Amino acid sequence: MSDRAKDSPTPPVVGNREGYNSLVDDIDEVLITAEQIQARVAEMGAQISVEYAGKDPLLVGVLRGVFVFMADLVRTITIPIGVDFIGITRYGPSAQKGVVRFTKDLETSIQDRHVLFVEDVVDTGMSLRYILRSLQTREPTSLKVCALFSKPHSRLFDLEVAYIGFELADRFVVGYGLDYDERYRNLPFVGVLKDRVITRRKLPTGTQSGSA
Amino acid sequence: MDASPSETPMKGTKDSAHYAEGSAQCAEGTVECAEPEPTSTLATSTRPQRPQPIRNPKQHGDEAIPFSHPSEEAFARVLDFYQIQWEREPTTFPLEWDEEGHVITAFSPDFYLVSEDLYIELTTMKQSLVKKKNRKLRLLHELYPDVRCKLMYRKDVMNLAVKYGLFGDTREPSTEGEIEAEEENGSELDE
Repeated sequence: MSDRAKDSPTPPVVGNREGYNSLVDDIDEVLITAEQIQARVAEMGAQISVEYAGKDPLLVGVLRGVFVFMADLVRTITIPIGVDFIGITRYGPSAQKGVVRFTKDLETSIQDRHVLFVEDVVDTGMSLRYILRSLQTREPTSLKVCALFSKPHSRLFDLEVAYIGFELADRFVVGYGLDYDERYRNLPFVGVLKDRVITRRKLPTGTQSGSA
Repeated sequence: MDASPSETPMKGTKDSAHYAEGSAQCAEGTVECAEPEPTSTLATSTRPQRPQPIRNPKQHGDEAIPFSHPSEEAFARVLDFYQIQWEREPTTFPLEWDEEGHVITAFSPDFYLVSEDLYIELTTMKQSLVKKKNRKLRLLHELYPDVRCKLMYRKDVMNLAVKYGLFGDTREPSTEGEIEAEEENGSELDE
């Protein structure tokens, strides 16, 4: 990668760039460049390598947003590790009447293992709270959280995040695995979408009864 | 609300504490303090030495909960999805009293997250329009320092809306009537 490409929000895409450029055109502002991300991920990997030396940790990620960060992170870790993924339902139009559940469970037992849960972004902490509670019941030796992005001002739950890459302001961001409507995950940087891109959807009318 | 403070005035002891003076402690990462407010014109009012919150009738089960804004309903659905136990406006906190000890300002946060012992107030007003709510939050923290309350601002609500692709009507109130309705949301009493 040339120096110019590193500093640019666009990666050295070979061939037809039309589609990629259309994604970049939707970005209003680049908050964290690809270079900044890679540098910080390397620091986090080095720190994890030191603190988990001799512990054979299992890194657990939740699909899908974390896959980019996980792929880069594990390549900066210099000690033996295991990697596994879980999947959970995400709240959305099709899930309004259900409750969160696992769509993919771990394929590795975490009992008596040092588990590092890897998350792309922690904001309200609602989904993280659910996942940690579930993982904790499986009796790992330790369970810590590593998040590339944290939005502390959005946090509703007191959840300890041991490793944080960047703290973000309360803005909706995309790129580096983070999506809006399943797009923009493949951007190598993190940015804010233009207002015109974000479609407002009409909330169904009526009220809901009961509490959880 | 059944336990409206206006219907259940709380009598206090004579106390000329200037509760609007000084700096209220803002919870870390939860309250964005607005510019310093001028000293309250109610400085000579009476306030109990130990103000007590009023427990509202628990709203749960099959009772219809009248959400005052679509964003509140949407937020409740998200909480339900993540199996987070919540209550709707379970508590009213008296904040200011007149000289006879009647409550004249109170605050009823929209949600209470049981497991977190955390109150949440949603607002979809622009930042510039939340002065009253910020003031109430400061008074709440001053009078009830053990109570944790987070004010979710419009940008927070919008972020959730975008993230989950659900909230439709998160626009800020634009007319005087809408703003007034938002301010009065949750049986809050104002000066």
